[in-house]
Amino acid sequence: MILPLLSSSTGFDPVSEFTNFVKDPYVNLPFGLDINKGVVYLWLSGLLAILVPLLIIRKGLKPKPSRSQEFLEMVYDTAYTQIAKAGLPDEGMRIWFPYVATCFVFIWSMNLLGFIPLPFSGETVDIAGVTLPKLQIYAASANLSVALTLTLVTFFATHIEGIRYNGVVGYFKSWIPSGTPKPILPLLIVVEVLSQLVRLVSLSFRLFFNMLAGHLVIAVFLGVGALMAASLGNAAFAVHLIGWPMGVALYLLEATLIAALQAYIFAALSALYIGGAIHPEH
Amino acid sequence: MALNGDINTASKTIVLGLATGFGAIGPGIGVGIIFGKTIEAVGRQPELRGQLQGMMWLGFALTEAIVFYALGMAFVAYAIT
Repeated sequence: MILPLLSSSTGFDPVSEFTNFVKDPYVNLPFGLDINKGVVYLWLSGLLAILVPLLIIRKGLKPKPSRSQEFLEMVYDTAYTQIAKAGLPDEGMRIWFPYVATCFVFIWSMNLLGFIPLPFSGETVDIAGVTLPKLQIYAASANLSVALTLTLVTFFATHIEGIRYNGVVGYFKSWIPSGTPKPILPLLIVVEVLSQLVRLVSLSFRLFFNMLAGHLVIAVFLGVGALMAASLGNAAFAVHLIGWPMGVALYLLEATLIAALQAYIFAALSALYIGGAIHPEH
Repeated sequence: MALNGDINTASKTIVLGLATGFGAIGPGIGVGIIFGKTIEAVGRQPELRGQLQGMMWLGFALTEAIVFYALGMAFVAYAIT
């Protein structure tokens, strides 16, 4: 995305930055293990998620916490009481609290990194004779592969834990409420299996589309003036007067609220699903 | 002021917008109900605020995701037709 978008001659295609990077990776590797923009963003988010807490802890924890320590304690407390305790039973805490907390912190750092303009677009722009890389906002989580991979981990964890705690027969029996009349049993089995599979779609799509649509809507609001000027003439640049404040407002909303909320939701639902498999309700 | 282009693309773009817009009606109402009811509940029992807020955000996200199903399907329809 070009900021500011003032020239009406260049094409405005906000979707391309989410699709084209697959075709021209930085490093070509076999088996589709190319290192492209998405991979670099993943590495950076991983580093962010590891280094920030590590540096705060290395600085020394005190009984009277500094502001950074207070922030870290708040994140831990949210992950422990709000996410893990709400979904997981006590015997599952030891293994799965680290997992859901990691999900929370990692997805949050992915989302946050997506709102910092970084020079990984591979395109350049000339400003006063100096060639600079174009800044661009892109989130690793605005990518179905990333969201789906995280979802698959939760999916397999759910069923493996369910079988481990309840046994194969006991676990699959627990999907069907006891005392179901025989005639509607086949229908109920189909519905239950479908609902388990729909979780795969809903969990991954929620994260993926929230971040993708968030970025697209910011890009569209910032660029709508130039887009309209391209077909309607230069007077339409006045639309920027509405578009830019809206774009900035949406940017602030997405970066502060939605980025954290989506990470929270993913982790909380993972905890609920895994907890539900360990201790089936019906 | 002459607009030129492909009628096919134009209609697809309009439908993309319409589908997303109609898909946003239901979740919009739903999100409103969730926040309204939570405010009501906190007004009645302020001591349950923490518990209610956790559930509120969960419900908010579950409802909000429906917009993205509409948007996703609209994109798919846009891409394959």
